[in-house]
Amino acid sequence: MTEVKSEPGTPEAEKAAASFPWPIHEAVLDNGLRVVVSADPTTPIAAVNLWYDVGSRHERAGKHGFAHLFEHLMFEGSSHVAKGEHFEWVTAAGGAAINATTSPDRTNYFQVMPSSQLELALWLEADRMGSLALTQDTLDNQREVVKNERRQRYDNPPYGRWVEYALELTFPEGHPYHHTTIGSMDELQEAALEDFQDFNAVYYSPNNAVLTVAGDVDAEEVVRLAEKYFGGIQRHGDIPAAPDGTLPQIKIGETKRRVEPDDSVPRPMTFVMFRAPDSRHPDFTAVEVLATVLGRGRGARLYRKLVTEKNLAQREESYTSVWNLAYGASVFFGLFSPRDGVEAAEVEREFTAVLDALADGTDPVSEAELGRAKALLTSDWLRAVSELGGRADLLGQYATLERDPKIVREYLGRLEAVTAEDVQRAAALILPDDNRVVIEYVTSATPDAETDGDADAEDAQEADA
Amino acid sequence: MSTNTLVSERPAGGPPRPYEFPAVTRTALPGGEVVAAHLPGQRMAYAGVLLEAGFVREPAGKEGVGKITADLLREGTELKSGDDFALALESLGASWSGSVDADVLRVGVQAPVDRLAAAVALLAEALRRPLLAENDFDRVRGDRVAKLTTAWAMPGTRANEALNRGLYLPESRYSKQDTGTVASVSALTLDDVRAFHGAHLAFGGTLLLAGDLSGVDVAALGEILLGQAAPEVTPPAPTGARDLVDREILVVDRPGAVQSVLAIAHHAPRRDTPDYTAIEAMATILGGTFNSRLNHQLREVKGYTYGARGGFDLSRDSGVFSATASVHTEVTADAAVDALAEIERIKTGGVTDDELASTKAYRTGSLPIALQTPGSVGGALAQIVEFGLPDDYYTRKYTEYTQLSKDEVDAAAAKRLFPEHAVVVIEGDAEKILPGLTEAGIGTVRVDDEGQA
Repeated sequence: MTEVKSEPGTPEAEKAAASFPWPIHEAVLDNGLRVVVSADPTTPIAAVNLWYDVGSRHERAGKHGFAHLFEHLMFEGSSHVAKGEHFEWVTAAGGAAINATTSPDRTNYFQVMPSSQLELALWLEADRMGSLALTQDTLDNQREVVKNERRQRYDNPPYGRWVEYALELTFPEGHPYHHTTIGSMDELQEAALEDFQDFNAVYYSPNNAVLTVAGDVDAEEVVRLAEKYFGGIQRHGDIPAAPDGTLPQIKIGETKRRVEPDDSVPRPMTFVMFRAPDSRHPDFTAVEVLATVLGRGRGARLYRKLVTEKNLAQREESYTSVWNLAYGASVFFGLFSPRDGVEAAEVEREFTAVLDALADGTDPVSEAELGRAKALLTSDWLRAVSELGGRADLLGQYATLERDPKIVREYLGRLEAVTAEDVQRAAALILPDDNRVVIEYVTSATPDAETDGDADAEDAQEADA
Repeated sequence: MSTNTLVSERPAGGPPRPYEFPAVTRTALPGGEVVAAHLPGQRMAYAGVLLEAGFVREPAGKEGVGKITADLLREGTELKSGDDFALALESLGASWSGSVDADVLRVGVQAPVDRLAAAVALLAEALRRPLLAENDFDRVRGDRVAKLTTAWAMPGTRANEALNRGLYLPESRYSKQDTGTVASVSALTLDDVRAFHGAHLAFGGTLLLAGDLSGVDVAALGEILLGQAAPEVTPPAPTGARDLVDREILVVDRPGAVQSVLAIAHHAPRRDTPDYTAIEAMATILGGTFNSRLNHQLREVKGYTYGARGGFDLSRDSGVFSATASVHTEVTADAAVDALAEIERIKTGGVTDDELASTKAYRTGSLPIALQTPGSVGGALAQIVEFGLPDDYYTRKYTEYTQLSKDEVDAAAAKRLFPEHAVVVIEGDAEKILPGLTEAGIGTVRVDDEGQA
């Protein structure tokens, strides 16, 4: 519970204050639950957020999608809360922004309450942590809901499965990031109640969670309330180590390509995925800057080259982006769609040329580009912490992944410290053609598919070319 | 885990502290007003210009000209190329936004508050002095057409288009997609854009500001943008609503679809209807939250969908009620029957005391949660200006909800819902869903193949 404070007045202290000017208070209950509180009385509301250190990376073979289905079951009732009542009580108390998400790395549960209703959210979260009701009925119902989520997000929309195709090639079989979080229809169909009882027993333990409260609260009072509601939950035992995400090297080692002939898509589209240093690596902030320099916004390199100058590609909100996966390697990706009458191969050549010029140093990052990227990322950060929900989630993130929520104060300082050389180093590692997965959607109206004919369609199903 | 000790009694909690919307100041300038909300401590700020340039102002055959004009503003000004403009804006850490609805067009920037003046100067440069060059226009038009083509392939777009045609007469602007069609956008010329800009974007408007304005010269920002008044505009054409008699079931074929997009819609009053709050409360209970009747029945009881919702979209001259869900192909007819039954049930049976109490608490308690950021407060200011609401509208909502009675909400359900006259559009695999829909006996089923991207 001791506060580590930078000396006031130093540049580090100013950056820390700019990153996160609110107090951070920490406590650990006897059962291992970590509690993080950040008080800010500006608005009479409080965000309540739980990070459980379990995600789809923990799933075993044949059980893909189970972490996410479990997340659904967390809303289906517990000892003192009937199915659906979590949402009902929170909204009836004037709360909002209620949801949960599952990522490869973790699962988070959150809601924002009028601060006078803080205890209700703590009671609801404690009840499901300590007494989740897992029944065959709710499993059957939520399995259908999740199958519809999969249809709605992956199977029905055009290009909906590109991430699945790309991850399968980017990470080797058996790697925790080889599969998407939504998982497989067939494996979800086979899911049994015991799978979820086991999952609960192993991972949904107080010593595998971080409770964060941000907003109009008193820190000591929140810790007292956490003890009142969560203190009676027994720790389940040590949490088994997650499957190892360590890779022999960050690079994939080659260019892998999947050509996907698909006449249900409106236009040809190409997605490119690269492995990148994970979000805990010291170079990760430079990777975010790289994605911004190359492919984010109207002023990014790819937009200026492919759209304004060469007029080859459709404009996109974002040509390149990066995920913040934390264990072993993360993912950097890009996309483009050729204009009518332009061959995908031609756009890909130009796209690659822009990446190469940065990676090989022939067109290094300028100070103006660096400044632009830092300004955009600084605004992103200020937006994220301007909402209590975002603030609580960042504290939970740092507390879980880095074991220290106060690292939230380092972000703007880290961003400021990124140099053109750092970005260059990240580009040289990530962008070359020995680290690339290309997913190419072609339609029969495009030149590629017409010349290659049907034989290629069968080859494409092999998922590796 | 059986040894866990949990608190069995649900905490009662206290009433929420009443919420007050930030104080709004209005500053008059020759070209229009500055409407500003001061948010102490916020480091980001929003500045946007609201213009009388909604899609109802688009001439017949020029549907989409407003959207393409808004897009072209950033593609070069009298002073800078499109690339240089983007670099200048983004180097401030600023982001650009633009939107068009039936009534108004809004363009704006979000920037760190200490760079707001520079960002507003760029906004003014783009809005008032755009280059509108031929080569940029050709490129942006190509992008718009491609975007409309892509959207057409996305589930839901075709259902939405069919709904518009079901609700409005062919000559009505509302019968066409908000941002135009492939045919109308392809036929646009640079002269059309210049004419639209000259008539609706070159002068006037309302400047919306939200952020910590303690170090901001609000009047000076107003002067950059609002030097000259806009020319008078004539009232838009009548809405052209189509009379709905018997319920119609329109099937939009999407062969191979693994889900059907279900949409049920009918007309609703205008935004200035006196029972607005009662309608909003009723819609929240029917389809506005996770625990709403539609989501509860279709998702939590039946597992037909990942989510179902319903609500009202009310503009100055028109209004629409709609309920939507993406449902598994095999259960399409059952889902349509259930959704219609829920609408009928609330219309004839009203709401329960518990539902109303919960909705009142949710609608009032969640206001400060929804209005935490400069961007969301900017959006609230836009609503105030677009619909002529009082400056303390969001503060007054508290009182309005406190006073709202069950009778008023029941009356809104009885008076404003017409499931028996609704247009029901189902976009899905026709071969698989037609037999079930016909058998369900919920109305005359017709395959609609008239849609145009």
